[in-house]
Amino acid sequence: MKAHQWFVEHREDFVVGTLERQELSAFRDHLERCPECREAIGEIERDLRWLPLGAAPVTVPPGMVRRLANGVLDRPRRNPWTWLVPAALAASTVGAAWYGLDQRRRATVLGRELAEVRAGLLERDGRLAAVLDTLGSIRTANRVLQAQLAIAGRRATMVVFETDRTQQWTVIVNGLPPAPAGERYGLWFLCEKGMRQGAALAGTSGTAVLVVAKPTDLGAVLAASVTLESERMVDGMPMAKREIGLIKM
Amino acid sequence: MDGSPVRRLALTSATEGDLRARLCARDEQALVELIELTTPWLLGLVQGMLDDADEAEDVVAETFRAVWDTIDPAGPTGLVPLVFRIARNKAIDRLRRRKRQRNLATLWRAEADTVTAPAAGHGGWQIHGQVRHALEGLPEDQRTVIRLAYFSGLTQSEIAQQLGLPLGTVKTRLRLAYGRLRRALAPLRGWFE
Ligand SMILES: [Zn+2]
Repeated sequence: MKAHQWFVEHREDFVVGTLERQELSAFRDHLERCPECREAIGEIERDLRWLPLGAAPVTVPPGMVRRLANGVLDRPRRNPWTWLVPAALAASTVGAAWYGLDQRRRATVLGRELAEVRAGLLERDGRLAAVLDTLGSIRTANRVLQAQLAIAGRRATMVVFETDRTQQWTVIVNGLPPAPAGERYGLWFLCEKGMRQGAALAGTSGTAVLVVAKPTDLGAVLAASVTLESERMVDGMPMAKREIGLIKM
Repeated sequence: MDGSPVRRLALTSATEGDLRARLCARDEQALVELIELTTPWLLGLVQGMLDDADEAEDVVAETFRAVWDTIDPAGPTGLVPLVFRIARNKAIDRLRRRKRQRNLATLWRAEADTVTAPAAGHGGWQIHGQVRHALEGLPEDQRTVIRLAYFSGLTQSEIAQQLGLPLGTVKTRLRLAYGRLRRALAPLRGWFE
């Protein structure tokens, strides 16, 4: 156990990233408990935020700006939620049936208009399948857990439906605002033999659902912690995180 | 839109605020402008840390993806510092993964590169001058440890090993350097306000 003075003396080292692995981990743990150090760290980050400009600029090779821009923009639209994969599969099956039906009608109906109608129906069925899947998980749940999340003066609600048979949690979150830049939400299982990240969560103003596999190799799950954490990972752990809600078993 | 001649984009708090607002509104042209504005500096920083041009480009690419995916109107001000912070953190993560011990010769070469004038064709940022002035104001022994810590991404014990100094000496020099730098850079605190 390090004395508080040690953390005071190593705040800059934490920000700059020169601590050793074990020291980093001790510092991260300390930050979760110490608002004074959190505030001081914020100050140091602000003071040193322009220091990267101490490195000299270099000439950008031809074509790189275009490559970088395309690398960002030419991606499949990313949904950070692990959004109901089984539901998506179910939706595609329903979609195939609709498509077959549509092929027979197509001979007599104007193709373009019908295609638009079909797209609408597929979207509706996708959503319906997702809802049905969620409802199925809820109906077969063996346990229901709930937590209030407090973030930046706003409140969000998280409800967890635990199903023994699948060892899965269906998590429904309502009202979580988008995470601040450079941070994200995390869901961590606290188990008898250790801790494991269940999911990284995105904020959403509406209601969102995700399915998370419960760890089965770390003994009993004792609780789950919902955190706001830095995107910066060191040795597989976020650089800093703080708890915004706890789900007790 | 790239290569030479490079468009001279000046960094002012107005440019910053405008870019940030347009990025939040998913303006793709704003992304291109941010890339044009910051890439020479990001590459300079990250190449100095990783000593590998391909890996540096990967880090810069990951940085812009992270910025585009996470930018948020309610987030903290300071778009360009955020871009730098993400890039530097990503570079440090790679360094730590590599656990690479860089030899002194490479480091000294990097040191020599960073004290040359900015490459021709880049709009010099006024802030850059202030930061360099702050770094040049450090006594040489402190500047050396800051170079290794901040611009090469070494841990304290790696620095001690590289310089053949006791760990305590490295810690003391770093602490003195942080104090001086924070005082020297304090006038830039109000840049976004
Ligand atoms: Zn503290």
